[in-house]
Amino acid sequence: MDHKSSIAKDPEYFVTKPTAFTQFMRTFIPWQLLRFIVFNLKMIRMIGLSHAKKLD
Amino acid sequence: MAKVVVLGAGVSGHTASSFLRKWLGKSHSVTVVSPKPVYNWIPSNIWVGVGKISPEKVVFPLQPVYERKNIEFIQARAHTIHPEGDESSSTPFIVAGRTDGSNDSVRVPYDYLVNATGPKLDFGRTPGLGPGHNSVSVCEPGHAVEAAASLKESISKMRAGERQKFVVGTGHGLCTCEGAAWEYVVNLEFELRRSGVRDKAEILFLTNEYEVGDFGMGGMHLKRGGYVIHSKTFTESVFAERGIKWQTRSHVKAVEPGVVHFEDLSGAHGEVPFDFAMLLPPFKGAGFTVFDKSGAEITEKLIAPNGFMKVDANYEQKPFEKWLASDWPTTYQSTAYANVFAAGIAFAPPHGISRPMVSPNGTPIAPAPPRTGMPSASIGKTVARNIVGMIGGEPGPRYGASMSKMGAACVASAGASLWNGSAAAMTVFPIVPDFDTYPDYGRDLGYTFGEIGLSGHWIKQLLHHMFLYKAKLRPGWSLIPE
Ligand SMILES: Cc1cc2nc3c(=O)[nH]c(=O)nc-3n(C[C@H](O)[C@H](O)[C@H](O)COP(=O)(O)OP(=O)(O)OC[C@H]3O[C@@H](n4cnc5c(N)ncnc54)[C@H](O)[C@@H]3O)c2cc1C
Repeated sequence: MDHKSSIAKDPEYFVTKPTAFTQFMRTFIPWQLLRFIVFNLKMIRMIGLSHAKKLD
Repeated sequence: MAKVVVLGAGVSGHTASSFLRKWLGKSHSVTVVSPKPVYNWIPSNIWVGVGKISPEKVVFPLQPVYERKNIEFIQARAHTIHPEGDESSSTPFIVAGRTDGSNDSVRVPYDYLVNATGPKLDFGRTPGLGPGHNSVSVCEPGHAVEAAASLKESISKMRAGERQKFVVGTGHGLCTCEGAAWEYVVNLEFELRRSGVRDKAEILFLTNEYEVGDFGMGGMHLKRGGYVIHSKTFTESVFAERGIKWQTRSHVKAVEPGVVHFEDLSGAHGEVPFDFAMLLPPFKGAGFTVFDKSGAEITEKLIAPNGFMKVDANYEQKPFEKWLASDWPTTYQSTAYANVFAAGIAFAPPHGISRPMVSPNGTPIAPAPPRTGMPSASIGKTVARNIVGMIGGEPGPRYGASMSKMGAACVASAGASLWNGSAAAMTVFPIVPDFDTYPDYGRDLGYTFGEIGLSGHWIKQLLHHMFLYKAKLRPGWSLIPE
């Protein structure tokens, strides 16, 4: 019973947390190199969309 | 010959003056008026504030750069604008007080004026807040150095076995820049871990946001694992993973030595004890006084009550439900004077982005809208482009850069280390949600994206070096995107 009441009091219990695999991938160099490239490409695409627009 | 005067040499003003100089012929002049002799790449102040890098790494002197590029630099703080000139001359001008030690006043005439004076750090709105009082800040390099020294002291105490309480967040119910506070708290936690004293620290993130991850823009939705998830989920997850507690919906009403006094959205009052507190100040505009030709004060024609400059936005007071993406300005041209523009944080936003909230005691507790680096620079560039067009004979601005049509990328550092650091890398499109175009979430989920990892830290490092290179106007600078 005790542990249940402590669960109810602890807001962190209700929070989404990364699995060990997700945590590992966050610093796994080959995967991060790929993510580096992907994010840069996404950023460039978004910058392209955000250029000043000619007014009609 | 046209004379363009830019007030401010921050992200927006420096971008505007650099492009003005690049695009305008030699017969036209570009003058920058700014109180500090240096340029500061503000996002990296976070790393100065945890003692990771020295302040010299985030600043460089402006004068040599401007001299090389034939931009006149006046080290002074502008305080009055005379958009119609005065009785002796109809040429508009500004008046500034020199800050190079001479204390003289200088009158600077202009044909076009760009106000890019950013935020005035309004520590005074919360008694006891800020450097010289009871908490530290990282908004300026000097503040960040103090913060780092104070953190070092806490670390020494923890090494000697003492426990320390850290409070990081917003120092007023109407603050913006929650993203910077978020970055600071996770970097601080990272440094405590690296110093081997994490077990001696209690860390609280204290914020005016309704939910963490709001960042003054209602947060953002992302597609992840077969769901559309709000940024609250990720923000809380980062905190929970690191053992950082958080308290939302809070207005800091006073900071006494070792105690933060707050009121929350339920109207309850409370106290948080601390040994170290880094609390961001609320912002206001530079607060110019404006005079007409006869010398009569007409400040309210140009400047909103919060000190920011009124531009082509829809400033009609209306409830949250009626806010529209189209209320946001497009050209940043003053509606009172066609040769005056406001770029970056200096323009008065039409309203917030996050839903406004008020406690039962009438205290407003909701983040003000952020204007981060990327939109500030894009706006500066667009203003420059429009002024160049008008000098060339265009009847008015031809280009628009509304924050409701523009995206932003933001990389929030979560620990500065090349091999085991991390950062949250995010893009949002558009910055101001547009529920007419994107009825479900106000944003395009194809372009609104985020993830946490080491690659984010590499991007943050890359941006630090790239943007400083660009700001120094080194070869090829204009090819680097804003
Ligand atoms: C700690 C911190 C971290 C941040 N991190 C990020 C981040 O990671 N990513 C991001 O995109 N954004 C970040 N931001 C926000 C970013 O710094 C701002 O969006 C950006 O600096 C705004 O540019 P600006 O030119 O409008 O204002 P500023 O850069 O503040 O420049 C204002 C300029 O005007 C000058 N000035 C002030 N008063 C006067 C006057 N009266 N007369 C003449 N000149 C005057 C100032 O000296 C300064 O040169 C951060 C902000 C802070 C405080």
